[in-house]
Amino acid sequence: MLRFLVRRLLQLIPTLGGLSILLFVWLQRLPGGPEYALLPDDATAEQRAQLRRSLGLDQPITVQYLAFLRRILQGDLGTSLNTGRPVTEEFFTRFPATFELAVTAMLIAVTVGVPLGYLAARKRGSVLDFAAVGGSLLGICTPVFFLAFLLKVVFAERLGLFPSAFRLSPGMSRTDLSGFVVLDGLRTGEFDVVRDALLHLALPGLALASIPLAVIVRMTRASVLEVVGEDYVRTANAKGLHPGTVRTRHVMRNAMLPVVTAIGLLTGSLFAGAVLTESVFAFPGVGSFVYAATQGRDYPVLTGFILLIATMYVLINLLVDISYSLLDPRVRAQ
Amino acid sequence: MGSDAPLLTVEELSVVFHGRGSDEVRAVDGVSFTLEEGRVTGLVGESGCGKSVTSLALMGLLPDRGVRVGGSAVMRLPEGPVNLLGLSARRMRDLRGSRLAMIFQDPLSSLNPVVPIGRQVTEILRRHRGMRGSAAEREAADLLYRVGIPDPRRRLREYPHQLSGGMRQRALIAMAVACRPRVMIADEPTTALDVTIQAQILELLKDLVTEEGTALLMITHDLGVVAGLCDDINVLYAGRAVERAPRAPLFAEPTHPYTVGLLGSIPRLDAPRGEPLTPIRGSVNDNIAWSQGCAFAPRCDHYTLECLQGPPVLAPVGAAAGVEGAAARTAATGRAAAADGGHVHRCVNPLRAGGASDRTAPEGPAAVGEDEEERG
Repeated sequence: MLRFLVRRLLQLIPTLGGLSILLFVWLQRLPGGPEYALLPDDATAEQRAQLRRSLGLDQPITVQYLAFLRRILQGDLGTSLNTGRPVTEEFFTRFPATFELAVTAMLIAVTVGVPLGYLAARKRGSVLDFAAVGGSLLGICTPVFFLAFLLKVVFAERLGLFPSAFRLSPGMSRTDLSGFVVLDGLRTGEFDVVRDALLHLALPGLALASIPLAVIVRMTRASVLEVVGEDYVRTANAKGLHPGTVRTRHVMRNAMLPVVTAIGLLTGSLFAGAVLTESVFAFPGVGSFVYAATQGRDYPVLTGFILLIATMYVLINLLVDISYSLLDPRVRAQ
Repeated sequence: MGSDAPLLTVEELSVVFHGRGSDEVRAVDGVSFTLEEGRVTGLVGESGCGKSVTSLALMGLLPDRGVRVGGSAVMRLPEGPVNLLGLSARRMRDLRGSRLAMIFQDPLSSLNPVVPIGRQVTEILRRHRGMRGSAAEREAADLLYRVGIPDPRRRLREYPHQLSGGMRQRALIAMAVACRPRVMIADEPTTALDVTIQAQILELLKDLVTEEGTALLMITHDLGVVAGLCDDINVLYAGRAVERAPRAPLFAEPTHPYTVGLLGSIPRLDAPRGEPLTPIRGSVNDNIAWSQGCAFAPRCDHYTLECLQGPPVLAPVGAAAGVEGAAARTAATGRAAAADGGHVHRCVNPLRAGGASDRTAPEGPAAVGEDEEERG
């Protein structure tokens, strides 16, 4: 297990290295460099060239890349052109909010999606099955920003059941330990803060959960349908085991294997999907900050965000591989 | 051995699949046989003849929807006889694995790949014998040892993919015998194994039957297995028994052309070099419906027009055979035939005793004539 872990960690180096090259080349190729974003439209060509020199953009590309890499490794993602503060710092203060939102969305998607997918498979052809399959198709098709907007208008503004913006109600005071509102609230015993935070998470969490939920329902359904036809499920039934034992130990343990992979990939995409959801709900996370950055061509922030997401993906994939090897002994053996 | 009544009496078992929008398929069409203590009963036939469906029906493992099961399968239990086909799902679960166990064809796919062998053995001990923790583990190791798995303690912690094919089948057998079932069904238990392992597994099954007095239903298409293991043999074709006999008469004097054909298509080591095998021509797809006549007729070298007059009945060998009439069919089923040394067949134009060797000889028409006379 330890060897497996070390090997997988070493594999991260070329992956992330390749990623940094891709990212760097992509940035080089983008039309409209920072000299257009930073300087007013009527700046002269001379002024633009001077800015390029001062930013080191006239250096050979390899030198630029190495400088880029060195800065990243030092945790320096540059300074936001919009706010003038270091990108790393901006991310650090906003990341807990996004993390809480993503975890909320994933919890919704998994706790609803897996049982629903299972039921749809076991009651194949029933009304429930059609509803689950049809609903998940709708979930995949509906753009997240549209759904977020719809939820906000109906449940927050019309019905007033949920707050429509921010992480906490204005005037809510709390003890800040880590930036994770729910966790801090649980640790300090400020349950009114926890409740308020959860209410604020509900709608954006639901909007963000829509796509992963739909994918998980479908994957679980397909996977369960396949597994219930397997010989070992028949063996389990031939032993006279209770239906509950057959379901958990023999059907779900196998059916969850592909779903776990999907959950990993979906979790990575949640951080990207948070950009739109957060901006609709004015949720003070990384996403809404990045959304603002796209408006102002804030390249350091965008680069940092892409790097952050990519790193999250890679780390989540590592987690998936590890959990996979715990779930499936055949993978461990290799 | 207590009473001499059969442990399991199957009568007129039928299984009909009726999928949505598709035609009904009669996979099993009135099969009757008995299983007795310490004896091995064989169900023989090629793929698609209804062997496996019969076993799944007895185990109650057919899907809930789209299947209709008819007939009866009465099992003698200490608390009195019960009809397996009429039990509630809950009662059936209590019997499955404890009184009634099954061994499947493909040992790899029949074991859960992500659960250790030990867990897969102890779960049945836990379910039916209420054993927990280390007691269950000790018993599981014991079981594995009894079915010939060396170093069982270590094997308990391993997963199916770490075991060889023979070991896997032994592990499945260990699970099947864990609760000393009275009736055991083995569905082609050796098909996925190589020949040397096949012999070992058959030997193991034979020992279990003699030691425990279990009644074993052996489902196979392999006549070698039948010859080595089965006491009574039912040859199935297209969902019906076409010939039934104890082992010796079946091999010595097969009378149904299908049985003869099966025997003729086994390669023999003592056959002259270069002699071609004589397979049965066509495939099960060439069948006609039993209601129209003998289902085997289109593939039979001996069929006459009379074979197509209606469904042939199961009749004792030597007695007048005929197509289904008034009460002929029920009168000729299992029990009635027992008086004739138990050799019955379903054929209006059977081969004479000893016909196996000259199946292709031009004696066929002559045999037809004799039969006609007998009946007249």
